[in-house]
Amino acid sequence: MSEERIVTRRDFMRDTAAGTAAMSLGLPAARTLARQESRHVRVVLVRDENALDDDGRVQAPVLERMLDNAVTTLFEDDDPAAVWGRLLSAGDVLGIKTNVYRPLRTPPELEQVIKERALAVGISEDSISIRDRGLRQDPVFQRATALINVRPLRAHDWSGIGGCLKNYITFDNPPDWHDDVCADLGGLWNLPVCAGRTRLNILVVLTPFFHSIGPHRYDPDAIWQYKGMLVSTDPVAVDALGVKLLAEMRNRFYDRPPRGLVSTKHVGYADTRHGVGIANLEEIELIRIGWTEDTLI
Amino acid sequence: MRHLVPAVLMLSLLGSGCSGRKLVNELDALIPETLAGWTAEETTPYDTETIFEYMNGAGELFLSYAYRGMLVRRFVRGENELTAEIYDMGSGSDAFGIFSRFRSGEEIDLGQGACYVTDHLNFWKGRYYGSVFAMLDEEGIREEILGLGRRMAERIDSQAPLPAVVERLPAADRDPASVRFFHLHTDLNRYYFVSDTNILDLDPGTDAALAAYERGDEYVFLVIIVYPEPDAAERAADDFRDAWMPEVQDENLVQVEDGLWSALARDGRTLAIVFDAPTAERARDLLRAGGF
Repeated sequence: MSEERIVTRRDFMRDTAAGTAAMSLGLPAARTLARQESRHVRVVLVRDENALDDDGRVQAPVLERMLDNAVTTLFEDDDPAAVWGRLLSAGDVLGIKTNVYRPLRTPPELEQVIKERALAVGISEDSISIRDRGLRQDPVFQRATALINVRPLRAHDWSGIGGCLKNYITFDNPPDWHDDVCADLGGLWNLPVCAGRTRLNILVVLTPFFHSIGPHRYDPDAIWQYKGMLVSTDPVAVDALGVKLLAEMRNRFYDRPPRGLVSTKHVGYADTRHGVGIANLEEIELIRIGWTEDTLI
Repeated sequence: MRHLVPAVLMLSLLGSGCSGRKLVNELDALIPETLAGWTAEETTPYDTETIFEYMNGAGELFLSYAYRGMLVRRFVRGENELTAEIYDMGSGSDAFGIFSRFRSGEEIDLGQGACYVTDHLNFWKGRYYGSVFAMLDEEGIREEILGLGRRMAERIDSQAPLPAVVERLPAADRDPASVRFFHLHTDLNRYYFVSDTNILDLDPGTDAALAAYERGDEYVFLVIIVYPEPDAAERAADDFRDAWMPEVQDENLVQVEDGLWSALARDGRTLAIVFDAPTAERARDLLRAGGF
């Protein structure tokens, strides 16, 4: 684990390649990272320009195809049934951890696709639960052997982003994890109820909300019709790419590049303090499939 | 008909005695009970603990100021919802501080300061911060939101001065929409990222202001921080100098990696820092304009 020291904006100006993304992620500047061994993680970005219709409605068959394409690419196996059979087994108890933030919730159509894949593997209906809140009272989540983490990406007024890492905050008492702009959200992933159970992370980037001012401020002008999903076994890696994606969207949105940063250091600290995954973009292999217009990352 | 605060929610505040009930009643009086064409659905108070039930992690932002409590009233009309929020921020300074955090969009003449952007109004007056927003964009919604906001502002009797540290910001060339008041380094970073480490020793006991100054292509930032005591300001200056300008020996002025200049000055218990000045002279000029 890297030794933390004071890092300022000036350090990131010296490391122009790492630059803004690393600064936002709370990572030490690249040259200060203590590289003990080379690390590598795969993330698939799948996009389809038909994922939403002209009115912004989700097209379920397209989502289904996108998810299957993402997992077959991620695991380098052309057979989606075989891949789902590797991710899950009939004896699993599966919690599908969704997110019901009202203006931008996980598409129910996507929740159902995941559930159908689980049923097809042989998991019984009463061993599957789809929830965001009330996990501590949900018998399936409390005895889950497998979790699938799925939620949309959005800017967050306190933690910087609402991503896959933060999605697990409802496994515990959320205010307990707010300190220092939620710096230690990665610690959630080491709780006994979560640790080692997550089989897949899906950061939904169909319509990322890239600029938040205020806790209930949902500005439809700050929505990007990106029509994608970021999929990986590593929640830190998908969130790191999510941070970069939102930053790129904001850079295009503003006439003057913003000087401030809403800190997303919990993503970097999930790597450097809690060992949950890889936040360093140089160690993430991003595989892009599908629609390529305005990929941004 | 007066819309009553649900009894069960009142009970949670009655536990804190007469002061809790008094606060709820004060807030309740500031949001109109009726709105033409809309039905009042529910009214909910939130205190320093229950605020997280309403806004999760963002509640910490309000707690970093002197937040005392808030009230939310929802109105519905068909598929649409109009939400009115009123916050007691404990002081005019902190009401302005929260408002400055969220200021964005069109400046509106309402209360002591207001902004409107895409179906969302924010304003401050006295020690109160208010917000009115709609779930759906409809024809005429802007006027309805502003109308409700005006009625709320009119019910607030008193006004408050701007924070003293904000008044120290020089006016010439200042971008009015850039003015901020805050206490914590996490807020400073939102406006101008300095470091994830609190190298300026900001805490709830410090009052800080920031503004940007625009001349042509240049966009220079000035931060002024008032500490409780001169010793605290001196320690903060040393910490900042060590982290930001370790190569500087005699003068508190440094040209950083992007070619722009930073400068530091201290006057008793007040620090002033300039970022992104195009020249050393510009940095010194801005400090002098602030009285440093």
